[in-house]
Amino acid sequence: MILSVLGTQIMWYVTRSSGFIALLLLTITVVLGILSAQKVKLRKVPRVYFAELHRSVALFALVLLAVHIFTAVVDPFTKLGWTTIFDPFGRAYRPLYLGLGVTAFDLILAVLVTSLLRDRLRQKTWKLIHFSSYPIWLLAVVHGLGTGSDSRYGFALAIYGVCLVAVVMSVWVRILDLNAKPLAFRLAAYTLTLLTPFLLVLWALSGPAKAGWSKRFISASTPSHSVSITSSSGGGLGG
Amino acid sequence: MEPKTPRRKLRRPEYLLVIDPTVCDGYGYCVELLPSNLSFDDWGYPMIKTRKVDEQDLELAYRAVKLCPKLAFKVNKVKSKDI
Repeated sequence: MILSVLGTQIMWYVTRSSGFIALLLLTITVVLGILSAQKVKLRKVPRVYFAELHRSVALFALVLLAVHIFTAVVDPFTKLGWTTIFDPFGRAYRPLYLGLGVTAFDLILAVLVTSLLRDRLRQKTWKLIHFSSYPIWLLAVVHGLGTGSDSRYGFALAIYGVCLVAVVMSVWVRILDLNAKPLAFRLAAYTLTLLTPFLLVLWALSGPAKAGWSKRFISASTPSHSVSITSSSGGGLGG
Repeated sequence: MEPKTPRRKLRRPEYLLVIDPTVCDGYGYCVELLPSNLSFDDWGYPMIKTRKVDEQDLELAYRAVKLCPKLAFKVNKVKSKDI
């Protein structure tokens, strides 16, 4: 019986779990990137390990994202076409938050390509595009919380919480080291990194973490069996 | 007498490391990867002991090229006659 349930909804399960793992890997990537940029030195751990891990984990995250996107598109329920990848918004299935995720993925592709071609770019160009990793990470979190299949469950909120704490802490480490930058720049950075997590938590608690958030998205254009699938598959993983 | 034919000597190329000190920011990846070629100076910047990269270190050397955050570390392939 379990197998038959899995058979029809396997894509749905894989999409959700690979999404969570991809977010965790993106978080690790961001943290490792900051650690290597800050020249963090642990005893007996060469600094080059951070740089090498940053690369490998980022590529691993991309693999998981490929799985995440493939299963989401192939799942007949979502009715997403492959064109969604370059035309993120305006799909019937949870339009806004799905679009944010696709946008994040497209930006990740930009970061990937510029990093592979780093020796052909100016350092400033590469760095500017690489800095979009921070908004990408935020987009990924908002996409996950907002799409919201699991956002009301404790385990999901715990994962988002761990990711938020990890990234915010390492960003603060980086910002506190910005003494060379002008005061206005530093003040803007402090404000942004204090305000963003605060607003994120506030939004998460007021919306996605509440029961019935994902039902909001079920409109007349979505097929009618959506209600049972969303609730039953969500319950399966949470229980 | 044997005819004198010009014989081309086939020599293996050599691999020499180059560091641009004006760009280097002292991340130290190259020193950690190639301890037989490089060491840290007192300020944590790379100091060259030998430029010639051993064959068995070549992979590590190119890894350092790839990882150098400032692209200050390079490996040049040279034919022996060029030196």
